Amino acid sequence: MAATIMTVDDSATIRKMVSWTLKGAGHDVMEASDGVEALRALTARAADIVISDINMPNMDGIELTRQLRALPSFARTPIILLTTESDAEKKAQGRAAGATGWIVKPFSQDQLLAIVAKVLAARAA
Amino acid sequence: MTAMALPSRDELALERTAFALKHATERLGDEFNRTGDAVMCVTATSEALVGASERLRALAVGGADGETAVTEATTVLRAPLAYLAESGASVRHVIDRLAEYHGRLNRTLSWEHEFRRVMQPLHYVQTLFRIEAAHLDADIARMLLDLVRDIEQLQQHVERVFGEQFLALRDTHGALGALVTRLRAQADDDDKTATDRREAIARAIDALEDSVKGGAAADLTLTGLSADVSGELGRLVMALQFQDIVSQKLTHAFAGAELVEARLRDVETMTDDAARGEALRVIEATGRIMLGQLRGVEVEVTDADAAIAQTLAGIATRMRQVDVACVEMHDVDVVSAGADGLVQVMLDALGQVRLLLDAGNDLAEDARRVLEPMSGVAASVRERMAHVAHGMHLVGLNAEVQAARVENRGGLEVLSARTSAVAREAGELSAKVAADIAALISALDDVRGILAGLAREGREFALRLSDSGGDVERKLHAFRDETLGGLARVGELAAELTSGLDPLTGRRGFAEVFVGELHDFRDAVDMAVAHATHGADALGAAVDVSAHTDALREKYTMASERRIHDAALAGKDAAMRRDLRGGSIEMWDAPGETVTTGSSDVELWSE
Repeated sequence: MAATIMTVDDSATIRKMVSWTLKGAGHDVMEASDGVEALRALTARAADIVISDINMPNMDGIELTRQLRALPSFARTPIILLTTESDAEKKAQGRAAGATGWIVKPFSQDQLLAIVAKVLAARAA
Repeated sequence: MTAMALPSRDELALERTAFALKHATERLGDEFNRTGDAVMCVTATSEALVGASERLRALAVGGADGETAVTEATTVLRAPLAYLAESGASVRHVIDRLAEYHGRLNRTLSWEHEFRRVMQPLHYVQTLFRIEAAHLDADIARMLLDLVRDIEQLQQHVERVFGEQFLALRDTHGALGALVTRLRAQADDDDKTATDRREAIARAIDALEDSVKGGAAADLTLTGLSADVSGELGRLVMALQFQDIVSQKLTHAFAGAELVEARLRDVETMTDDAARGEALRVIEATGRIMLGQLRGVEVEVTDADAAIAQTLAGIATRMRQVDVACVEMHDVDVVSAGADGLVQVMLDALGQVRLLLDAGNDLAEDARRVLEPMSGVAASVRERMAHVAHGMHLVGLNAEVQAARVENRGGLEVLSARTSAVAREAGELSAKVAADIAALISALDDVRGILAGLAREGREFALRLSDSGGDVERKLHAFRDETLGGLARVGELAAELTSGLDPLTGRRGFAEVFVGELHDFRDAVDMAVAHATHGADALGAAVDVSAHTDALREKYTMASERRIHDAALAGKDAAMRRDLRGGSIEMWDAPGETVTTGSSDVELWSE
């Protein structure tokens, strides 16, 4: 099942890695380097899944999650936080903001694809 | 605690340390930014490799049409083998029948001697009729002599006709014998040729099948290599993420460096020893935290760099294997005369089959040409035999009539009876010969029909073979074009992949470039810690600075960093080596539910 997926990360390397992995599996990938850019792009074009870093300039991933959840069109969109290892407090913030999940870097391609498949299946059910 | 003045040389050392730290921080930051560029270069090249690898895999699995064409070619080539075996048996059967007819004609020819024996008494009959006529009245004698003349003429006619017809039959017999001999020799030759052709066709089929097997094996090799490359690239994706992780850790380290540098400069201007001692302890603790972090960064970079080098080497090896596989595919191509050669082999085989069919048709036509006049001769003989039989019957009747007319029951009656007997025997013999000839004509007609059927079947089969051969030829040419095109594309891709690796395999390692600067930075921090410790100890500072370090550590969001800080502050080294297979992932499908996937954790929270 191909989906449109937004990847948000201030690291061009990570965006490229995520993009490789997802495009290789047939997904359409949008990219943004921070929360502000992502929010602007997602307002113009919806995505089936958002995969976002937490620590970014201008607007971090937790704030992006919070603002997306405030939009009716993103109320049920899976938002996965892809971040360097974080403490429990940070994870709790992400969860409270409305994120669907949390993945620690470095991610493996298989793991990322498995998780994307899982949330897409859960969404379709 | 008694405050002590800090020695002036220590003041100078602190100033130098602050300067060195600032300088090392800037250099490390610049160097790390350059690693970012290098990582993007590796990323871009690797992305190209991924694309090329995917195209390679697509090429490897795209040969099904070619295999179908070869399978069809094999089927087309096998059909003539069966046909040739069948038609060869039919020709043999025809030859056997012709040989049998030859024997039967030989028996028919033996009737010629019997004919002469049967006709022989007529000479005596004529003489005796003449003797008898000398004793009869002139009118009767004339009639009797007319009869004798009729007998004589008939005998001459019969002998001439029989002579001619049996001569013709002997010629036919000879021609049939020669035909049988020639057909047998030709059939033997054709059998040998057919055997050779069958072997050639079998070899062609083997070559085609070997080619398909070779192609499938090469496809398998390429598919395997492509999968290996994908696996290596997957590991590369993992390893390249070090840049982002290290970037975050360095941000934290630089924040610490900024704090240490500021504190060092503060110390220079402080006049209160207690405050200076506390500041020095803060520098000491912060420096220890940073040293722990820098050890972590070094391990991170070194491990990632080793993993990147390893995966790049793995990809380079696979690419060289792809090159070798391409060369091997070309070698297979040469051995089996190539894809073009395959088509040629099939066309040659089809040509050979057509030659065989043509030879069979020629054989059938030759036999027909020989048989047709034979049939005419036999019909003529049969007709003449019937005529002879009829003439003999009339002579016999005439003799009886003449005998009755003269009422001479003595010599004439005997002669008449003998003439009738000869006429009857000659008629019966003629009928037998005519029956033999009639049977032979019928049999020859059968054989001609069989041969005509064989010729027709051969022509039709050749036509079908030509059609299906043409179809297979087109498919094999398509297979050739696809194979050669695929090989060319694989070759181009292999070259692209190999050349794409050059900037990667020829690069300087991240660790090699970066760790030197990292060591300088660490030395600067180490020096700051040493001077701070020395100064603080000299001042006898015994103060809890955890509030300061906690404030700093709050900025650090990575759990592993906190573990490192704790160990560093306790004067220990934390376990550093990361598991490059991936971070831990947990999935929560519903609040409180945890699903572990692989070695990493994802947490999924339901809405």
